[in-house]
Amino acid sequence: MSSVNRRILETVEESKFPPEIKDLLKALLNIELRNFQYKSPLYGKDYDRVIIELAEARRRKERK
Amino acid sequence: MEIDYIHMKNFRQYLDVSIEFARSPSRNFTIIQGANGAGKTNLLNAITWCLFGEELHVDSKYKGLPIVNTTTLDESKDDLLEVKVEIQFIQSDGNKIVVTRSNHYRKGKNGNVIGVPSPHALAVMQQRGRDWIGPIYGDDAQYVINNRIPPSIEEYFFFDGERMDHYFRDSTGKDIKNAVFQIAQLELFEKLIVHLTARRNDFLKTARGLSSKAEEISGLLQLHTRSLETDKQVLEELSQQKAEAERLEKDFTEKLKHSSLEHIQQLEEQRAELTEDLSSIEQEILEMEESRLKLLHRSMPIIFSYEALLKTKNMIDGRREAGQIPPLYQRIFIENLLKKGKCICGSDIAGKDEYSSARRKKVEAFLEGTQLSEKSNELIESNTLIRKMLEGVLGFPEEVVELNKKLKRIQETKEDKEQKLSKIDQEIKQSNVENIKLWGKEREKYAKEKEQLIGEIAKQQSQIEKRQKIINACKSELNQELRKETKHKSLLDLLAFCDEGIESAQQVRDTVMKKVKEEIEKKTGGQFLALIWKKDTYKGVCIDDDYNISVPHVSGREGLGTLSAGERQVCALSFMAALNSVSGFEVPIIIDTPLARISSEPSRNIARNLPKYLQNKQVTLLVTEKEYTPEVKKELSGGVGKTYMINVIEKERGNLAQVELIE
Repeated sequence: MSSVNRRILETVEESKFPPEIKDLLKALLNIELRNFQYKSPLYGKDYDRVIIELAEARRRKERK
Repeated sequence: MEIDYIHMKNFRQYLDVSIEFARSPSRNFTIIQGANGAGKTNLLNAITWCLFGEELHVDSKYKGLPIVNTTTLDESKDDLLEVKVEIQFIQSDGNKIVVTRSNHYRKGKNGNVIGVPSPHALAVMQQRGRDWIGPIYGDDAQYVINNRIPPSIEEYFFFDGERMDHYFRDSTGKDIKNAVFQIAQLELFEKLIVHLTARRNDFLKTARGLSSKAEEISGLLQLHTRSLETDKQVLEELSQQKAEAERLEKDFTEKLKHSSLEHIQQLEEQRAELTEDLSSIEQEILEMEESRLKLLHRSMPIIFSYEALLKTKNMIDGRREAGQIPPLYQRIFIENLLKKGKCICGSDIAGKDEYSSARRKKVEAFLEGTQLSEKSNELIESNTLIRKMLEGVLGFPEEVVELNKKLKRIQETKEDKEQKLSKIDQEIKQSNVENIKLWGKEREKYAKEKEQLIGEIAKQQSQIEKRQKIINACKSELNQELRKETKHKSLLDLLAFCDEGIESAQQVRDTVMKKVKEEIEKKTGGQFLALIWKKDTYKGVCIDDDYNISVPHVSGREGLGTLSAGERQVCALSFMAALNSVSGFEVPIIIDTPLARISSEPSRNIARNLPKYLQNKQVTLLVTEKEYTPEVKKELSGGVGKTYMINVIEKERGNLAQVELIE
């Protein structure tokens, strides 16, 4: 499995979610895809990095 | 991802055989033709053994036998003989992946075959542009393979046509739904939601400087979140148990339906009809009970306040008849006269003289009569409404009596049919034939188990709903508590961002799920009707939300159970093709004996349509001469890139196979 199903990505793109949420979903789906075979999450740090980065981006945007 | 080639060494009847697969976009079909027993299924097994270390489609006659070619092992001068299968895949970006699995075997003292474990049994090499990465071995190599072709969905890409007609009989909606979840990658969302929720809770758990109340609520929240996960797992287990009980109940029904005793077959036919009737009666009862409930909800508040409403209506009517509603004049009109100091007739009412004062008093007296003026419109409207309400419930007794009568009649029909059903079940359970008796009892056991599990599932669902409400309340309370201190602003933002992410992921998952189901249903139905020979017999294929598949007959009856083996094979083939169209995996398709149970004319039809349904997919068909008729060959020829023949070389101690490119 080398890429996320086209249908899923299209639905995320077509949705009315804010850009940071769309980016969050796409980034997390890619993390899940890369770790597809692992049952337990060994990739919590990857999650934290993406969440904190995008939540911060949103906060900066709101401050402006 | 397409297969470029496979090389098999000493694998069962394949001593040293290489096959290159068709990969041209317009001619992506490879035909491998061979008689029964020539080695077609073993070719499929060589692929699954190489990828997953298991022969997943093994024939009963090969079960338990070592995969090494024993003739070669006997004749070998070396101590060890290597069995090796190598497959080269080409990915959509042009990069190659080479998977090699090997094992060594030696002869034991008493002639038995002993496998010798190899440290590098599985190796994977990956191309990245001009470079090659690897080889990587063992679990890491298996990880690379499983990420591209998960073993759990292997059977939807590499499948045995002969087994396909069992597909809908053996699989429950739950199995099919799970497969669709994996193939369409919806499973990624499930994991994402669980992991994002866990990260959210971790942010909270590791936050510092929380007030004691916030700590307390946070603790409760963690506790309920963990319990919710356990509740969901229990629900999943119960659902699986229910699916299993349902499958076994269905299995025993099938056994009884196909029993050799004509009498039992007839009873089963009657039973099937009764079961179907009962199912529609139950639906009808549900609808009627709902209508009755709606009628009660609508009428009861009026009936309970009937007396009061009637009294109000009579009171308003009385006032109206007395000319008090509406009043003869509006209060504002009298007030204006008093303000202007002139009566309607033009006389002065503002003067201090005796006449003016008397006239003013008379005009002021009218004010009392206008007390109801402001309320008069409301009263008139209310009266109309009250009249309508009272009229609306006048027919209530007759309506409810009629509904109850209908309900009673239908319940009597239901009881009658249930009695007949029970009588049939009793007769089957008391059969003189041991098997029939046993199957009847087993069916009843699993039916009861299923009913009990349905109740437990409902309880569990309600428990989950309650738990979810508690969690939401905790979250809201915690937010309020955190908002009290500005230092928690970043934490609140982070938690809100996670919550929004979780909610959005759930929404996208539901939308994609709906889209995928609709697409599979539409494509399976369309393809089935196009391929089927009795075109006017079925309406199409329906898939419900739990992925239970039905094939409605034009008469409205369910037809899946009555499909012939060939029709079921076509239905399964249509479903597999539809499933592949929504797949998130680029996996080639290999079908062993795809047309085995299908007669000549429908076979031609399938051959004509299959390339269209499996567009842009690399397809390999393993066929017998009987299946690959000149007509089928002609229909498929436009899409076929390579055709091979498996030639059997008869040897004293087991046949060998040679594969020859013929076209």
